Amino acid sequence: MRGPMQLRSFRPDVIGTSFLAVALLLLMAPGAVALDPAHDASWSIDCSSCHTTHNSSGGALTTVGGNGNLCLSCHMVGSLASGLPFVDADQALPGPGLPLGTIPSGTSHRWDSGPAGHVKAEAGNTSPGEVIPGGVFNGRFPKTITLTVTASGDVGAAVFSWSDTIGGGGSGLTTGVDVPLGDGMTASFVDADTSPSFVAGDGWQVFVRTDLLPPADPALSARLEDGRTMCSTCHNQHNQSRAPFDPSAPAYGGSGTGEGRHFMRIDNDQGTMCNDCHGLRVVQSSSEGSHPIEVVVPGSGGTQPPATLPLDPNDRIACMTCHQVHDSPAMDGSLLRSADRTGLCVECHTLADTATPASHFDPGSTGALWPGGQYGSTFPAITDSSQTASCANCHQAHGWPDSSDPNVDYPRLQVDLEENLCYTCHDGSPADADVRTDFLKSSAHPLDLASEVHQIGEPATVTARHVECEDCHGPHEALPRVDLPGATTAPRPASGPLEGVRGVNLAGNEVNPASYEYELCFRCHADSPNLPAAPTPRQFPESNLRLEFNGSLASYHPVAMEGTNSSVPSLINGWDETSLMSCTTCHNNDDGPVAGGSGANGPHGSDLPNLLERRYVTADGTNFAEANFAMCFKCHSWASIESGASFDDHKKHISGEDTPCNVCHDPHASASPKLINFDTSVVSPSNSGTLSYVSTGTNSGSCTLNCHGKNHQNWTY
Amino acid sequence: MLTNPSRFARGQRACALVVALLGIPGAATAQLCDWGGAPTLPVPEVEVLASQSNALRAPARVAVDSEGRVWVTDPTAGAVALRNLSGGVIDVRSGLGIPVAMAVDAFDGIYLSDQSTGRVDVYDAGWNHAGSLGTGAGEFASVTDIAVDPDLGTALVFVADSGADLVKVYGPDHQLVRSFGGSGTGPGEFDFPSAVWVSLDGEVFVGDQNNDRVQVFDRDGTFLRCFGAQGGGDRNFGRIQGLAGDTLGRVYVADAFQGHVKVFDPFGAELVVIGGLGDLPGEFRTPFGLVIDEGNRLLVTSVNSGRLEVFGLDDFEVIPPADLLFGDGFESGDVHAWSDATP
Repeated sequence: MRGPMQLRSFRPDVIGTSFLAVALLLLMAPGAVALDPAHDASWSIDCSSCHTTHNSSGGALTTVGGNGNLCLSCHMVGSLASGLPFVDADQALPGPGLPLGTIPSGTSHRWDSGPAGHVKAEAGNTSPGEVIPGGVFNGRFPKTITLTVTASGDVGAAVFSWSDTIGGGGSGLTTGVDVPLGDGMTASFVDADTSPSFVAGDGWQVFVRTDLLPPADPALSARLEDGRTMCSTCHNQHNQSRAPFDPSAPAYGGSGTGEGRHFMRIDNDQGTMCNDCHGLRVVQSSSEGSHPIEVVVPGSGGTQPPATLPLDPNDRIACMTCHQVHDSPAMDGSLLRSADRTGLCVECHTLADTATPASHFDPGSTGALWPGGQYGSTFPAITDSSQTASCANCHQAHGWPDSSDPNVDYPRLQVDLEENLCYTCHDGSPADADVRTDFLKSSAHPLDLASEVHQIGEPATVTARHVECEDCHGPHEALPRVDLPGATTAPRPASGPLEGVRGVNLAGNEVNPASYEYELCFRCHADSPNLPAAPTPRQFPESNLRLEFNGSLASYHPVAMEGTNSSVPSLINGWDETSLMSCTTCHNNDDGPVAGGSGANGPHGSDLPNLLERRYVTADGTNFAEANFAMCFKCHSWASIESGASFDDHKKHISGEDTPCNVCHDPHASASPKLINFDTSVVSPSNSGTLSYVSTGTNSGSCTLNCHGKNHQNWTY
Repeated sequence: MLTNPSRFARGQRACALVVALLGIPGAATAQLCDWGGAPTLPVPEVEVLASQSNALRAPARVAVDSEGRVWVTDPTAGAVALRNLSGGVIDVRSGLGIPVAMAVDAFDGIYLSDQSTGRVDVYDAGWNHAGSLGTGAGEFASVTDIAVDPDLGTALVFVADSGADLVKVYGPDHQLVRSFGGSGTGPGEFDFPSAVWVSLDGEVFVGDQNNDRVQVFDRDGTFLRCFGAQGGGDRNFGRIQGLAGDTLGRVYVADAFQGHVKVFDPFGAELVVIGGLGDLPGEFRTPFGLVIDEGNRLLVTSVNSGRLEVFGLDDFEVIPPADLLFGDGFESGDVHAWSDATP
């Protein structure tokens, strides 16, 4: 029991010294240990509010249970600093790397953590001993380490095991000081007054995060608790002179001024304090694995200076441009300035149009939550539904290590390499369409031949032919699929999933964005070098689709404009001589909805040659069956052809001689009328040395050639 | 951010206090409190019964009703929870602004403060709104504690308005009867009166936080005595945040800074220290509110460990098994879905 006698029993010399010290502190020149507002008399605060001159329970005459406890004893609702409260539950617990079932949380920078993370005893522990994490975590993946006592005892006798959330672990370890846990981490065990200090079954969780270093600035490094930050690491509770990262903060006018300057320990107006511990994230290019800071946001090229986010005095981005150290409206430990992550990003990134959101940004319909890496990436699932359709599903602002080489991050701050990134959702779940299966088909756009080749803003005419998802689909612009009627009177627009992509027009000029679907195809199938050989050797060979469809030839399928043949009696299903079609009328998924299947739309892949939607046999001599030419009969009537409506010997050639359509007709275009462009592996010049087709009028013409051993010399119909 | 203008007006006084401590002539003289002599009451035997963390974010005040059910305010969650003794959540009322202080009277009427509006609302046992103390919104600067006079004849309600340095007293009609205190360090004056409790003897104990003392008044607000010490030597009170008492008249003081509950006789003789700063059952991180129920169990909120610590005192009654408890019988550790039944 304490009473007046005890007070009187204090040593007079100590009392005298301490009172003298307090007096000196109070009477010293302003600025030395001045109390600036609001930690001053304006809020009834004096030295004795925090300091005890004798028998203090901790260091600096203040601390019981850590610096934070002192601060929190006032900074809570119902106490003196009730208007600026903090509670332990406010401390950030961000994902990923949390134990299964732990939801990311927190609105405030931790005041109990550091490069060795922070430790939390598991509920129900009865061990009186203490576990202190140490070292500097240098692992590449954030994680949670769980330490479990397996044999009771004091330090040196108690045994423990550990495991972490990324598959690491150890067992049979003797408790001690700085026991290694891998990745630069250690654990130290401290005995209590009672024994055993550590009880079998008790556990502690150590939460560690990447890219943290101990502070180098002596003002910061001198104020750590077991290597961990505390309130006073970043805040000088006595003095407001240092500059905060807060454009609205008042100027400091000397001792007794500066309320609202956040009591910074060192200047942070340019992010210096943040950078001291988070320096590994101070990069000027995303290629270095983190969002660039200390750069001015360009006003073009997909970015713009932010409208509301604060910049440093040199108009550069800093950590606190995006992050709010305390009272973050984001409740998930990210400490972002907005709970709307996409809204935050689009302050600078004009790519993401949220007014008319692209599919990926539309939480109401097609936006998805990252379901967890499945094709290489270890980036875990995002389960917070409020993150639906946010940028964070595909991009992490501070990068994510490439699982094949964790020393580097995936490019562009992605959480996986394309096309694996896209496949993660577009494999049937959560997105309905399973395009991944299509790309595994025998005829497919060869995504697997290129990785991370596509670059934002690369020339529309591809100089090194490649194909990646983003070559055809802008992930920030693409809209839901729009089913268009088969026959149209205008070229199929580059809309829906093709929204926003660039292309090459009929004149060979870049268009950005493309207006029509064929302009997208022209990027690689027109003027780009190293075009592959045509699948059929032709009388008039041409591999440049632009030149085939730009109207310069005698005949062409009407992709870009109306066809040249005014009499095509076989057309059915709504098609007529004025109709326009598109590349994807023929080149499409053989299992897509247009083909009556359940697969995805689009020319991703097909199990039919030349990525065709339906069968189109080209081998001469194949026994005739209607199904062999289903591609043609999608629009052309076999009955009409068989009847000879356009060419009276059609039936004789096709079903009589088993000659495929492809032998005489070029499905793209020809210098001859009526798409006649002979397969020269089957059809050869006539005995007179001539190979020709001449149209002599509607439904009439003349052939000069050799085929199936028969010389045709001006055979007419 | 909420601000408290009255705090600025009081600034010079604190300086005067320090000057006084340094012995500079002309300064006001701080009230010197008597620590009490030999203990007049026995030291309580204390046993840790439970450490409940479910559905508590940052619990503040705690109160019990006539059925022994436990109300806990959670200001930063904007909610109050009704729990059973084993920690099962019976109901949650959310959307309540910043509910800090709460008291329950003998008829289970509820008094609940909202710091965001400066009011104390009154609800009946069925959570029907039954009015507000005084003029309603703006009646108080910053309420941190409410105590109900155990004398059913007076039916007074004492409100610690720490922002105004006053204890305000309200009658059964919810109207202001009197207030006492005022800013200062002298006898009967307050510097952030954070806690209030009325003993069976009708003595009003007030935790005078920034003066580091407990002051004792009669019902009329007449200063009787005080105990505690401020500044200088051994700091007996770090940050008084909660006050309660048992039927013997022992006074339990929650010290949010030291992380413990100190027990005194009514004259300030220290009897025992309960708990300490830590995370084990029975330990605290910023203890705040406390109450002693009819089973002689001490319930203490621990703001920064998000827990309700339960202790047995002397011949306490054990906590019944959950399936014998009122409410939905949830076991401790279960989390009830928080309803949104805003009154």
